[in-house]
Amino acid sequence: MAEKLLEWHFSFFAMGSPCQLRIYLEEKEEAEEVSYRIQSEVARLEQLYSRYRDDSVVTKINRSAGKAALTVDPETAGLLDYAQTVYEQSDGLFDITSGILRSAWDFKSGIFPEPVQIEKILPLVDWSMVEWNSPNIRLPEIGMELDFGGYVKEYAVDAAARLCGELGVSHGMIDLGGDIHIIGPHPDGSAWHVGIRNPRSPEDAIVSVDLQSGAIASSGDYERFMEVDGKRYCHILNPKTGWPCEGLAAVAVAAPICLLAGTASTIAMLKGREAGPEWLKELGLPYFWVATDGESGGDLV
Amino acid sequence: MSAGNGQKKKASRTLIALAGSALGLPGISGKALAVTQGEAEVDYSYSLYQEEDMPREKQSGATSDTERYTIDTHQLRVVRPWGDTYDLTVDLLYETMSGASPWYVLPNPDPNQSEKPLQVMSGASGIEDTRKDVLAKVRKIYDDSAGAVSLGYSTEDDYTSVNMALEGVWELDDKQKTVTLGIGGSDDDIEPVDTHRFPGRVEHETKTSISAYAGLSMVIDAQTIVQSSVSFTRQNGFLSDPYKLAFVSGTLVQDSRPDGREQFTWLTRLRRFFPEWLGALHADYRFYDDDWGVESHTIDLGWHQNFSGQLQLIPSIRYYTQSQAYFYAPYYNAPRNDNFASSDYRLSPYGALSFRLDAVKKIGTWAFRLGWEMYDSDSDLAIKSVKVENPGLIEFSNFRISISKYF
Amino acid sequence: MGEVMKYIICVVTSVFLLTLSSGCAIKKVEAWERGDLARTEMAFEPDAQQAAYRSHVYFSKEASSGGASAGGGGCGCN
Repeated sequence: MAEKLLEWHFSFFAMGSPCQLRIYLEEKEEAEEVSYRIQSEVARLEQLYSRYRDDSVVTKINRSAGKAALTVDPETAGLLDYAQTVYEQSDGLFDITSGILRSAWDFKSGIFPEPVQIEKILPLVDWSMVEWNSPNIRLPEIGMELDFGGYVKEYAVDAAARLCGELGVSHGMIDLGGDIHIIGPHPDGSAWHVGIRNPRSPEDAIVSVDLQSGAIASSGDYERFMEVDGKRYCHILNPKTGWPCEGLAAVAVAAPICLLAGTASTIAMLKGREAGPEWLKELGLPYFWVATDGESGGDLV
Repeated sequence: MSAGNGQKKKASRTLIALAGSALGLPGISGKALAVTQGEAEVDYSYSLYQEEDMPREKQSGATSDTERYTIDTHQLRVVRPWGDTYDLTVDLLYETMSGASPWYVLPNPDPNQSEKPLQVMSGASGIEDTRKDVLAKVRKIYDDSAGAVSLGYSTEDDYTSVNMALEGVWELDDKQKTVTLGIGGSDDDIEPVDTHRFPGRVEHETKTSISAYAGLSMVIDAQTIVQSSVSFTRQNGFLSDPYKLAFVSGTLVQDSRPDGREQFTWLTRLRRFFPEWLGALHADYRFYDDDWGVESHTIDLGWHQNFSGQLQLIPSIRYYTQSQAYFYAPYYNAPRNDNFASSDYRLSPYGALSFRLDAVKKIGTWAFRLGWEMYDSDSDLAIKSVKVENPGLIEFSNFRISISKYF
Repeated sequence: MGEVMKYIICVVTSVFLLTLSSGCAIKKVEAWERGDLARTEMAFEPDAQQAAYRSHVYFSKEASSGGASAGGGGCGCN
């Protein structure tokens, strides 16, 4: 029944990253319809959860900081519940209130923030202060902010992959800026070949993995960073210190869903050179890590 | 290099916590297996049920084949969520029936043909009736359970039924198992037509029915789920067919059956998905037994094949076989001691085979379905070998078309 | 109503036994592995309206009735 399936390839830009959708279908019109629906879904999530947009749910929550509680829709509630779980499971390292720290860090300037700047922000960073009683949320302090940027892209990949399945696509993959979900293997049953970025040469793959199903996500110090005295300082900030994570250059995790893979790789980055790989080993998902000293490990490859 | 699928690792507590939370997200789970609130939908369908003509040679004194039942059915279903934890389903049905129906059976006057009794059909004008049925169901959804109440009302020219049911669903063991319990009852009024023309016919009778059932479904593996349920029904009141007669040693008497019936069913259903074929197997088996001596077995097998472009084809086959009610006979040479008498083909020993083909095409938020069925019954398919086949056994075809809109 | 109680007790006992007997040897399927099970064609009744119609047809033409539901009324089908 799969004799006339052709591969269709769509590239687009969403959530601040280059994205691609590769699907097998018989007709071009069908493929374009799927691509349109997928891009609309990603755009919907971007619109809802981008902190750069005036009309987003996140902006509304952030604007109401210090004021009365806000009631959120079930999807946002699900994301907040997830944030709560991740916060607990990472001992507070993965914290969606930490985005505000980025206002102290200007990675383009190459200059460290003043310690006093960070000290002023840190009291506003702690998810446990947030009054989250689903479906009501209240940020108790003026200046507190939520940032879904740490996981909404992964969530969007999963939502897009599920939608593809519902639209009748059984072979394909979706990639939103390196967060990948396999919809199904190639029609001949063969796996998708997925490369993991080399943190010191992001256009090249450091290793590659064959995936039949499921998802893969990676975090690294190559996305936004500055180098000071030969040392790299990246955008993944530790909510406890206000400073970039250290020790690991990149982490990739494979999981049945991308959201899990993405949060696991970010938590490992934050845990650092020793604790990160150990935590990954405990976690039980296939993983791969590269340290800043060039060493690497993991059972993914 | 491969992602080491072979070495299945043990999921840590952390992973279970994260995954559990992630799966609560609508983008990831979509429609979950579990009890979830129904999404809004509207479905309309039209079905055309048509029985094969009763051949002349199976009838007594007929000069031509007789047209049997035709039923036109329109169904409308509306599902809508109500608040955050309720959903409401309303089913409406309107059908018109016409055609002749088996009336009584006569022994064959030819002694060499004694195993072939003859059918007498109801009057040439046949029967014309309409049935209207409304069923409303409200469901309340809790975290791992749901409760539902339904109320139904059905009316025909000669029949009215009011029914009610309560149902509860509980998920156990991390949604690995689901228990369903339900009870229901109905109160029916029978007011046959044309009683002035047929003096023996009852004028007004009633019957009640109470049923209870319990089911358990289990996830067996990532592609297999099984459900097993038992149900009991107790019927009381007028359970005979007011329009049918039976031939008892030279005279015609009203169809007469016991005024109580206890029914038991055991139904097991299997669903298995085959990823390599993108198809799902449906296998159902039902065992039925009642205190009228009827025992039956039903096997229903279906294959749901997905094709690209949101198209599904579903061929299925159903095999049914039953034994006769203890008081049934095509005709009686002497009255029974208990005076029961029924020559209804439904209580006769027989079996039936049915073939179905359904197609489903989804376009955006619409779904279109076409279905066709061929059903044929025969005494050769009965549980035990049958000497005298009831001449009224049916053969029918069914054509169905439906359209659904999801919101 | 004594009859009803008898049946309810019967049913509850059956479920209890079924639950007990199934308590062993089945591998746990994690929630995230249930994608296939969540497909619409894996439902026990993928098309509820059709299922209701079909069971009514068989119920009115055969001696047997009953299955995985309670409720619904009779009919004067002949």
